[in-house]
Amino acid sequence: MTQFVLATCRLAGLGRIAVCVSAFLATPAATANADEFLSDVVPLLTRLGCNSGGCHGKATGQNGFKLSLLGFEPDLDYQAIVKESRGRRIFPAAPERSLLVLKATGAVPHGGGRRIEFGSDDCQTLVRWIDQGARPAAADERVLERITVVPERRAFDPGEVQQPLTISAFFSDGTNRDVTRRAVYLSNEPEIAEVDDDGVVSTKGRGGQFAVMVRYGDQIEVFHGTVMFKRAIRSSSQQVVATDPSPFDRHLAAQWERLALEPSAEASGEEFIRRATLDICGTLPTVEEVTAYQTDVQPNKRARLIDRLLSRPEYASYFALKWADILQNRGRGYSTGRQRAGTTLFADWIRDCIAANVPYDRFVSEILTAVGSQETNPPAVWYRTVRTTENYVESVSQAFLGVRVQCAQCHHHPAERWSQADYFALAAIFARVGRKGGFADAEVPTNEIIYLADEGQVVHPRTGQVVQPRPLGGPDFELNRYDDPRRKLAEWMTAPENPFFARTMVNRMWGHFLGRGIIHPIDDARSTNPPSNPDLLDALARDFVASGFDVKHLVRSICNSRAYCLSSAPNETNRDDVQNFASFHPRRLPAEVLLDAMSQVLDAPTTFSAVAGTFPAGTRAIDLPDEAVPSQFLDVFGRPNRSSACECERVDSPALGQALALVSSSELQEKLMAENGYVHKLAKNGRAHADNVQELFVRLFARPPRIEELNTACRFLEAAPDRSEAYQSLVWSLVATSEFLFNH
Amino acid sequence: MSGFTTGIDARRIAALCLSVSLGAVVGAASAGRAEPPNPVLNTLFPPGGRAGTSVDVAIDGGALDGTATLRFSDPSIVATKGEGSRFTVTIPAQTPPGTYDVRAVGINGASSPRSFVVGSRPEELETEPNDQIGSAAHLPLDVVVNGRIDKPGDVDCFRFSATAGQRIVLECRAERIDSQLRGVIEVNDALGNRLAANRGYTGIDPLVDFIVPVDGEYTVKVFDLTYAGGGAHFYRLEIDTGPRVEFTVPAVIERGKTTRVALFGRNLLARPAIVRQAGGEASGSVGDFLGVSTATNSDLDGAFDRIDVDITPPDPLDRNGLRLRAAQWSVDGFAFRHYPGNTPLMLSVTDVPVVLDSAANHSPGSAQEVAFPCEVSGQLTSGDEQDWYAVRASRGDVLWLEAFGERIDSPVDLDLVVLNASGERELAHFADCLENLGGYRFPTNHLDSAGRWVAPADGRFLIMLRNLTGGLSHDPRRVYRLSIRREEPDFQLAVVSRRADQPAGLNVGRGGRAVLDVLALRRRGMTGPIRVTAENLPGGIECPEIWIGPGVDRAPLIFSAVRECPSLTCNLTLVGHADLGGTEVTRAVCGGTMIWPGQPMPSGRLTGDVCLATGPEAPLLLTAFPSEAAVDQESVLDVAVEIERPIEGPTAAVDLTGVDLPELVANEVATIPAGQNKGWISFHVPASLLPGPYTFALQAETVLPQATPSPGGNQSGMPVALVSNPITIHVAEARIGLEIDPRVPKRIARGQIIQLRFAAQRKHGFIGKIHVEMAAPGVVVGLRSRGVTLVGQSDSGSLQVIANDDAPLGRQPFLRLQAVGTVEDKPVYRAARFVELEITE
Repeated sequence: MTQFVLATCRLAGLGRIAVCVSAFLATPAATANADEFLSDVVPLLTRLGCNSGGCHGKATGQNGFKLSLLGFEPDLDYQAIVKESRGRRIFPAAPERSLLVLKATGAVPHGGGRRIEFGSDDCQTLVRWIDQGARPAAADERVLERITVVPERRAFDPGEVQQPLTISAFFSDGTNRDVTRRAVYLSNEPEIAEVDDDGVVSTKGRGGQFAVMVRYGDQIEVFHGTVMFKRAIRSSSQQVVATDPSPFDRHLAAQWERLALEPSAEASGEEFIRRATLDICGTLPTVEEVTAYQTDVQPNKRARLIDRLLSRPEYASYFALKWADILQNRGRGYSTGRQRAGTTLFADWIRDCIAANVPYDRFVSEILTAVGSQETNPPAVWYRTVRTTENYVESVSQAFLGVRVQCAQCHHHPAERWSQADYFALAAIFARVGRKGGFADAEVPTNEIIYLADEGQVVHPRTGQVVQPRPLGGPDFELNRYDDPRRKLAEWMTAPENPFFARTMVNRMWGHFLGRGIIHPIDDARSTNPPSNPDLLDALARDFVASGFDVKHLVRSICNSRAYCLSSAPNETNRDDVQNFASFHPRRLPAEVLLDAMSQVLDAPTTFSAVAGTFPAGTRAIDLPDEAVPSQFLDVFGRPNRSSACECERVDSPALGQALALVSSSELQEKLMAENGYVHKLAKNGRAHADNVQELFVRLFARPPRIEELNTACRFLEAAPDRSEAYQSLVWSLVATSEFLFNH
Repeated sequence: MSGFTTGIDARRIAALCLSVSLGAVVGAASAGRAEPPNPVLNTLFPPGGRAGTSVDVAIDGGALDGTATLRFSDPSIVATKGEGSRFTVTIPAQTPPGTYDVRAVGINGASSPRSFVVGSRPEELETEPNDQIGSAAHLPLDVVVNGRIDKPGDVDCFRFSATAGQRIVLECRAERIDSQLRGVIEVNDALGNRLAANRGYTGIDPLVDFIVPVDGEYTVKVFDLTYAGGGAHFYRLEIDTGPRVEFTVPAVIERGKTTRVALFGRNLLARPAIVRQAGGEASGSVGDFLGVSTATNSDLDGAFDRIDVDITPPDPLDRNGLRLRAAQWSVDGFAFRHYPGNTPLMLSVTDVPVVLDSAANHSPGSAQEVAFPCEVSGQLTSGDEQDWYAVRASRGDVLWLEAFGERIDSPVDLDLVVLNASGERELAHFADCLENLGGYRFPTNHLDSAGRWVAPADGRFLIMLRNLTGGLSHDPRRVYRLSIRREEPDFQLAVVSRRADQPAGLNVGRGGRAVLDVLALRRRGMTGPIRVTAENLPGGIECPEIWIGPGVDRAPLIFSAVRECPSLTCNLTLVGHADLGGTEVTRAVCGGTMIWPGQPMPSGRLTGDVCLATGPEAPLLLTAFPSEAAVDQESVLDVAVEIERPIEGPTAAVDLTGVDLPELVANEVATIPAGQNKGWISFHVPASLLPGPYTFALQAETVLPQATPSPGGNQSGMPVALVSNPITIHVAEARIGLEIDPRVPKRIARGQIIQLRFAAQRKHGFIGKIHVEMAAPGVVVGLRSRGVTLVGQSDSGSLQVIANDDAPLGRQPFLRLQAVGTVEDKPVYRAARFVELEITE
């Protein structure tokens, strides 16, 4: 039929084509409401994926046709569709023959294939808009102000359930309409729930929480879904709600109850001391510490253990390592060791701050506002690696605000409110960071003096306008000529009401101890990536602020929480749960911790050397000043190269190299065979094998061997002709077990 | 001949020793041109001693052959030779505490200096092994430990006992006494818990100050920040309960007046001060660490005791015992000692009234009224503090504003701005002093802002001063001086070795010459010439006076020793003279030195003396004639050169260049062919060179033949460089401007004739005849031309130049077109231009 109409139109002349086609395609409703570029066409292109990053929305466009990513720059899109290429994409005399329509319908070859059917509603929208003059967004055109999702949230029973969503768009002229079929949907947990193009959410039978991002035009809304777990045994979490004074535990328990999750049993004392010592101090507990803890019958022994661990220097060392990663205290890139003084100074300063429990707001402010010579003022060393507009914005937003705004450098953030203007306004805060003096080592500047320069500005790359300093989501700063915008940023950031700062830190620390942030990933907070337990996150953040940004207090709060004390053994209800902390999630030890653990249990310290000097005997990996201290073991096990503020640089996923290192690492071999090492002492001590195995297990795993383990080990030792080799083999095999390699 | 051979071998051996001793440090030098043996004193250990005692020290360095004695900048300190490289240093009891220079004097002369500290406390020597607390030596309080981080990874531990409530300051001096150690101090309690650590307080030298929490034993660790180590990583660790002054208010006092000065420091009072913990609340309890935090940039409010004293500056100013950085040469001050303190403090002096900043001058609206000339002494305690001052000036008033911060050891980077009366519009914004006269050898650049400002109208103007590197902390040490004066020219001078590859002393080979660079810091618009003289020279040593020309900032000061000069070592008295406003003003010339070679950042300091010594006999002597000449701008100066070779033998070609020529004079290269000992070099004096006296010198580079060919048959000798006597020219204003037509051919074939067109413009009232002709040093070879005389109003002409059939091919060096202006038929004025003319086949 369509072919027939078109043929007829060809014969009748162009003047009739529009009339014929319009008459054929237009529906009564469509003729009543003119289609508009902003509120109809651009959302349609987004829905069809035309302006996606993989197609015409990428920076270079596709086959000569470039649209702004997801339609965040409709003015540019209009130019591209209507004006560019001599207007060939639009054929006003025959709208249905416009290249735009022909491509989309696949009537002519299209790399993206057929996106819409000819005659479909979507096709009609395009044709009508062209037929109505292909008008740009008028100055008085109604503007899409918001969208709503109905329902906003729902708890689903276990099993496979469907929930259609209804999306309404609200415009500046007071009108609204249903745009359910024109919106774009994306689930953040497709393993829990999927959503189709028509906005129908389908759960997959797995418990957990998910969010569906709904985008229409430049507006984003989120549907929150919760899928209940299959409750198998009686919940004890309700009891916690009633009796536990800790608000954090109450929020945890409420969440478990809501999801019908049964938390795992409590971790044993042995598990807890190993876990807490590794997590707080990056160190294995000694046999004596394990024994003392196990025999401690006084109340609150967990809390007292946490306090003891927080007062140990290893706590400062371990968290200094973590922050040195985040703060990119980087040694690579230099040709000599002359920059080592700077990285050491900064690393030591971080360690001292943590040891002294300097309030987190002060710690961050010192870094953000650092001035002076990098030779004498450690926080100024942060500006050695962080030195470009991109570095400033991305490091600050990711490290301290938990927001990833990298996308907004080139285009509006696809899943958040951040625009290019936001990005460069944040960059403008650092526009007057001046540098002078210093020297270049392999052309990398070091020992510079950081100061507030007289001038400096940031220009919006698209508009060419000078951008005023403004924090993310904050107001323009009121600055006089001699004010340092960074001080204003620090004040804004560390204000109690700041929506990002405290939440980011508590989430980061929660992620450190529980293996996963309440917002996950920990530095990617956005409405489309909601926290798994918002009440818990808010409570932790409020408490952190109220404590005066006391980091040790925060650690105590987390480590004394019920979630941290749970066993890593799942039960039937929480086996699939990764979001709600109903069990402890084992994770591999970080590279430095693992190497130190091996050094400790084998009583064979690692010798670290570098260009500038040799580190004193006994220097631990968690005490190394930067990532450039040579160690193949650390590199294989995921030591980050500190090129960004993302903790994701530290890789804990398994790799073949790690397995090979455990099998053939000369580092490990030397420790096993060290002349004064533990294995040597075991072989020479003349004690019964059973006694040695008992001690060995406590030393490595903080627990005695199970009877079958003891028997197996003793049989092996007794059967071996060479006692020394036998112990080496036994210890080697134990060191290579997951139980040793993991914190659990 | 044999003596000559021996001399060469000695030098080779010395050079070898040098390279072995200094390793890579000197590698660069040994790979290039051979220099005379340069004795370098790398280390002296222990690096100090207590007044009234004798100390056994050992020295180490390069080319220290035959070191017979040590020479101190305070001549009352003497040394006697011990075994090998050991000496016994005797320090008189009356020697004031401070840092002095010591040099090793041997057959190669006097070495470069090293710091030697004289203290007033008992001293101890660090002894290994002490890497562990268990092996640490127990020390009394109020002691100075002389130690060394011997090797990479070394840690030095010490123990001491203290009583609750005692305020103990532990300070490590390393960078300030020429050490390469980047020191770290850690203090631990008896249980091994770290109580405090510091990695830089005074610059990069650390300090820990604490009130002892409980009676008991404490340990202190000293190590290098990057765990580097070696002989040059020496230090002096003070464990002290005595008074220590760190800064004063005012920071500057008026010359000739007695001023009430507040001294701020530690342990100045009998009782512990009310103190503030790092970043915490005010507290007087024990266990506090007073301002030297292990973590944040601590607030130092309340960390300092204060006592007030009356101080009168000595006349003349005595800086003996102060070790000052290169940039501090421009600061007038003296060594102030608050006994029984262990260290002197430099207190600045000015010759204009001193004004103290008021407490409420932190905004344009509350600007403090000051009248110039004056010096403001202020403090920028908080990081973002601004101090505002208001001056009244008339249109055309020329003011020089100069801020002093870094140069008076204040931890600030000052920003200095002049604004209109409302403070809304900047009229002048002054930059850091980036001018580095001494380069890598003696870096004189600094962060203090200064500049000239002309009042645009009658009225009130604001001056704002702030610290660009204040951060979030409070630090009362951030004192400053602000000088507001009219354009009153002044100057300061320093001499520094020309060697860029390593520190050096001034050693003159008998029968030879040695040179120092005189650097001139011109202040407040001073542009005139400066004459420099060496006074009271010992017999056999000569040093002609030299001129640092108008607007020029350096000149060579050249010393020569007659061949019969006895072996000697002496301190020089060098004086600069200049006409300032019709009055001849003299300024003492201070000495400067590089501290360590091969460092990424240049490091130089002032020396306590300028020492000269005689060295081995010089193999050659370069003499330039005339040593003094009058030249007109736009003319050519010809310098004849003669090389004196005390021992005859085959000679290599000699390349000549100018040394320390005024910047506007293009350098030239001339070559004396092998086998000859005389030659010429010429320089064009441009019109842009201001009239006045200038001194420069020539440098000759040649090769001394090997006495015996090397086994491989290599006949190449040892390259050497030598400097001539100084050449002083008195530049007069040009009366003739001579220009050669740029279209004149650059080549002329044998037998060819070309026209050399020119213009000769009469200037500055000269109306006489101008005679123009071709000329060259000696005679013009291979070219013929007849001179042209311009009379009356004529100012251009042409020379017909004929190349002889046998004219030597190529260019004749320094061929020029020369104009002579006559007055009453006498040649009075001259002008010349080099002619680029190549003779071809």
